[in-house]
Amino acid sequence: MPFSKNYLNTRESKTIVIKIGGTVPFQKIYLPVDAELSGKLITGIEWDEGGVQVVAAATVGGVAYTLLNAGTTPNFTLTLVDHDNLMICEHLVLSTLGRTAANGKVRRFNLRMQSDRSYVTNIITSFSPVATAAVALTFYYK
Amino acid sequence: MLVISRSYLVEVNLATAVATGNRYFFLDVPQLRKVYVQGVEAFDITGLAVSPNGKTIVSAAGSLSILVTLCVGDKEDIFQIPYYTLISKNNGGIIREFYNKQINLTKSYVQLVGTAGLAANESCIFNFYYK
Repeated sequence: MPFSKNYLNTRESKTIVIKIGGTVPFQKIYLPVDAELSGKLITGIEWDEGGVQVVAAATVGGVAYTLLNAGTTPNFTLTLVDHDNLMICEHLVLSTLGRTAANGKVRRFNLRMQSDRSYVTNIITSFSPVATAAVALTFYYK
Repeated sequence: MLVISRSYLVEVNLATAVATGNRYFFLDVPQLRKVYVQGVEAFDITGLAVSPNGKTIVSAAGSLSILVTLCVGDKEDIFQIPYYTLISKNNGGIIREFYNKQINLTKSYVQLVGTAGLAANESCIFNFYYK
């Protein structure tokens, strides 16, 4: 049976948890250095909503996180930067990458990013994340 | 299905007192000049609460009173498309795709057909997907 032309063309995926607890509004919260992702062709990005796709109170690598959900995260944007320090996607609204807004679809991409130059931004001054707050992103790549 | 290469978030602020018939033009965005726009997505306050410039995004109720017109050159190619239509979460997660349109932002505008749920200084916000 041939693939649907809508299939997500990926070989591997990696989920990154970005801790945002203790940050201030408009602070750039950089993604961690990741040798696996940098330079790879990113074919999809999905925001893993806490309490929807994954349990909200999650322990990853022995560290406890409170994963944000659509109710608490219409405040974040994701900016992707490539290895030449050029912004590929500036202020990509995080909520559109989640299951609630995208109705189960994974947003498809065709780009190469430098993970440690890309960042998440909290753009609302009234939101103070709890100490264990985190944003989980799944990158699909090949 | 849209494959995203590049994207840019664009804001249109409802700067003056809102009134039926008011038009608010997009400002020039150098990054979007002469590029091929493949898709546009809009948001209400439930998708993005505040713009990067600190302006409150229009409410879900207010989004029903907004029409969007996007120009290619001098032609109004995308004429009065409802803002609601461009909000992907209202439409099963679908991002409205265009066929490589070179949008002339400074001639494009949003227009109010009512004022219910809208307030001055709120912003419409769009994510342009382009290559």
